[in-house]
Amino acid sequence: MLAQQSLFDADRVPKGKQVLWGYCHVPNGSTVDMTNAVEQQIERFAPGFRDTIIDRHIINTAQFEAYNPNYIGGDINGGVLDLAQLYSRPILSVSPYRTPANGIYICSASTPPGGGVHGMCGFHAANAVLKDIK
Amino acid sequence: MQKNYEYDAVVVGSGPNGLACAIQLQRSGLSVLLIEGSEQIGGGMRSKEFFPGYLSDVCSAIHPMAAGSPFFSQLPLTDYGLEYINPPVLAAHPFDNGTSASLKSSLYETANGLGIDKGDYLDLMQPIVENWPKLAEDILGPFKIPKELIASLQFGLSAMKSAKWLSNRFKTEEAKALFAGMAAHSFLPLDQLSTAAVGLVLMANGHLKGWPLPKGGSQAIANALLSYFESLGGKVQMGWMVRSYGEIPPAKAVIFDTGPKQLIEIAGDHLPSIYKKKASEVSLRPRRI
Ligand SMILES: Cc1cc2nc3c(=O)[nH]c(=O)nc-3n(C[C@H](O)[C@H](O)[C@H](O)COP(=O)(O)OP(=O)(O)OC[C@H]3O[C@@H](n4cnc5c(N)ncnc54)[C@H](O)[C@@H]3O)c2cc1C
Repeated sequence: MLAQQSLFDADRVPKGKQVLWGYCHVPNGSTVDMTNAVEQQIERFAPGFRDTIIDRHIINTAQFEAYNPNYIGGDINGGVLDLAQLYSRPILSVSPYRTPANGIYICSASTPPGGGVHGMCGFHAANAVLKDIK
Repeated sequence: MQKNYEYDAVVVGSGPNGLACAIQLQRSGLSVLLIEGSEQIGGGMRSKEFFPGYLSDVCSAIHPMAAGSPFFSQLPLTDYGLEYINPPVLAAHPFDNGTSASLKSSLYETANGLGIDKGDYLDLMQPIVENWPKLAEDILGPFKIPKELIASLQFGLSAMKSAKWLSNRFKTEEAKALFAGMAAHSFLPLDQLSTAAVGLVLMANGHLKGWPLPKGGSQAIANALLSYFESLGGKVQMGWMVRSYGEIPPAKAVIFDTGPKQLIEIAGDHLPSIYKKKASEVSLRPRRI
């Protein structure tokens, strides 16, 4: 997965330069260095790419977890998104945002509808809170 | 017996969900404190100059989900500096012969690029795109009986199949590749069942709201959410990594924008062991079902 945001948002870089952003998937917790594999794959479709690199910054799964403790083993979706979990994380209950403890709730991407920047987990958790305390 | 609290609610963590939760509570009349462990707001929306003068997104980069979010769409985020940029081609999948398959915002332009799969693509995507406003509520909602049962069933039937199964509908490499790339966002081997749902949601969002990037980096979304929250009177404390429940100012509700593992580490003393066991079983590795 690659994105070159600076092509469309020139203020992100010095004039005439670019930033390329990309990631690939590895098994949970793997710290194998994928830099070469990723660059080879880009080179395959954009020959000459490697000669243009000024510098690179790499983050592996362990560094991701250190950066944000929510990304356990580098999992950026807060738990595997398979059928059993898609609508039941963290546990199957009518409101997954409530915990059994009075006044304690969870609203992260580990709750429905899961990963991504949409805020819907937080919105639904807030509504559960509002129902309980109003 | 009514206790006096400094805040009605405390939210721990300022990712998109923590900010959304804090905003929804504050704008509903509660007083909210948002605590963030990092010195920078936004969780998965942070941007950073890894090299001086070069701004990168650290985590999230492309925002079909933010632009299509029923909640974020209600908020006046453009007034707080958020501006989306919409590149003409949303996503492309390259081939060795120099050609590529591409997702465009127009359903028809995308379908036209897929040769003999044009009809199949339209058959699959058109009902989803047309029913999206009704569908979004159910798909992006908490677990409940779908309101729009019929529309949901139609989505469910396609979405509960694996991406591999669905892509077998298509005959061209272009269409198969495009769809597989979308579904790979679910981080599962592509023969698993719900992978197709992720692909379909991302493509439908592309046809409805595009795949925009925020001007100034993903951080711009976080900054706009924060400014809006503060304009409502919400309070923020950054650089405070919560380690124990006792640190948190007493409130009627404490909401964790963290995974279940951290919730248990911090609030474990207050949670029954059956919940802790179940919550910690949220599988972090793909498993067969
Ligand atoms: C490399 C990568 C690429 C991605 N690309 C995209 C993309 O292009 N588009 C997209 O939509 N999504 C993308 N995502 C996914 C998206 O970023 C996440 O799903 C989303 O950020 C989850 O939001 P959240 O609110 O649940 O938690 P997070 O964003 O993880 O925020 C949690 C916050 O809580 C804080 N916190 C945790 N524990 C504590 C504590 N004890 N005390 C105080 N604060 C605490 C953390 O510091 C963090 O700021 C990507 C993720 C990664 C890692």
